[in-house]
Amino acid sequence: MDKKATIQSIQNQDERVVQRIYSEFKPKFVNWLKGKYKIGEQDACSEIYQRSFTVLFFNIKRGKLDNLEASIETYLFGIGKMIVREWWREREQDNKSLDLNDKDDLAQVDLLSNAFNGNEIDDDRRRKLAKAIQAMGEPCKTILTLFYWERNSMEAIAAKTGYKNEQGAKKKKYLCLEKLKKQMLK
Amino acid sequence: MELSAEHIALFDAYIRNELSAQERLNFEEKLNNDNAFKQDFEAFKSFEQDMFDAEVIAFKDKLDEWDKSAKENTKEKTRIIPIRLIGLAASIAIIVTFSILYFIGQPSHQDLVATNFQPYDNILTVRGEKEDLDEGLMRYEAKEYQAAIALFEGYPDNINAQFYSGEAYLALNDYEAAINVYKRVLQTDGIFNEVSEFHLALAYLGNNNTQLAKETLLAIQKESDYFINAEELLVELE
Repeated sequence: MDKKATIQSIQNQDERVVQRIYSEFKPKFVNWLKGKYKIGEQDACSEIYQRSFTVLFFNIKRGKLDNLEASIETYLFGIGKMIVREWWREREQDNKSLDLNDKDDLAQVDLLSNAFNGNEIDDDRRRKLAKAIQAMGEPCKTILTLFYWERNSMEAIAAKTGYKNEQGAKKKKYLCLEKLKKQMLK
Repeated sequence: MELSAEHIALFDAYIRNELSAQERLNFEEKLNNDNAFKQDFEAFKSFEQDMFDAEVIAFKDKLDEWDKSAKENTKEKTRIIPIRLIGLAASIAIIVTFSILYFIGQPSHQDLVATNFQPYDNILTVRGEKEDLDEGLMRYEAKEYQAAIALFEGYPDNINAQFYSGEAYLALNDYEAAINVYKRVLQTDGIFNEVSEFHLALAYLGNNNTQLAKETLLAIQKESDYFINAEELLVELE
């Protein structure tokens, strides 16, 4: 599968393709961490790989890599380098700035630091939130997913979900958030 | 957090930059003067961030599941080797290792180069604009180093071609030529500088110039990706 087709499949969230490339890149990436950065613990290598792959996935999904010049693998390793430095900084309280070249593909990368730097309580709350959204009935599930996870405008959501206008969709979204809140308090 | 539909719509519009310049100004003025409004907005932003992060956490949990199922599949495929056989194999390995060390002694400089040198992956995009350069990179990837060098020679001013020809020379153990190329690469500030510094030290070592190799390794900064490699090699050279 060529680069463009892979990017397209990731944007369409084709789970088979995502899982295939996740498994395909992992051994090389982990060996690279062990060889280049001397990170010996398997759990640490897996954590860094998962973070790097997650960053790759979301940057592709959010359309930041539509004009990617390097190969996906090269880009993933570039992200890996940044994640390793962040990972070290978290552990060593080191405030060195990242030495990044503004001209390359990585200049715009979103490292999703907020999502990764939460504590266990934050993670549990977000996990519960994700489950609650996925368990919601329609149209709430679609409206909230399109708004928060697919970053659609309310106008686009109205068109996709069959509301007459943006106002109708906004009102429904409000009711859905109320429902979600009740679900979270259960 | 108890918010009306109007409040949520207003906060959303502000965050997504959908307000007019005047509406935006009014909003920011209210943020500065109305503490309750500011608190509501902060709480809303934090909730929104949780909504975005929930997707990331859910995705990462899925990766965990994939890893777990891959591990289980591997376990099923792994044969159980009797402990006695492992013991026997370990004893043989220890005897062989000590015998080799006894007969061969310390590794030569060239052995150290071979252990520490890994030709750098081709990370350049082949765009088809400079056909010979693309062809050179393809030859380099195929480990046809002599052919790659011949093609890179057509680009004496291209830093990428120069760097990869240095890699090819070092792979061919042509240390003198590699030294000349890396020195040229290091005269400019580019993405290959860190690796070039370390490989220049290896080329000096291959050329039996231990002093310059050590000086080059010592000059590698802590921020470099090759700092640990340099430190380890210095220990071996001592």
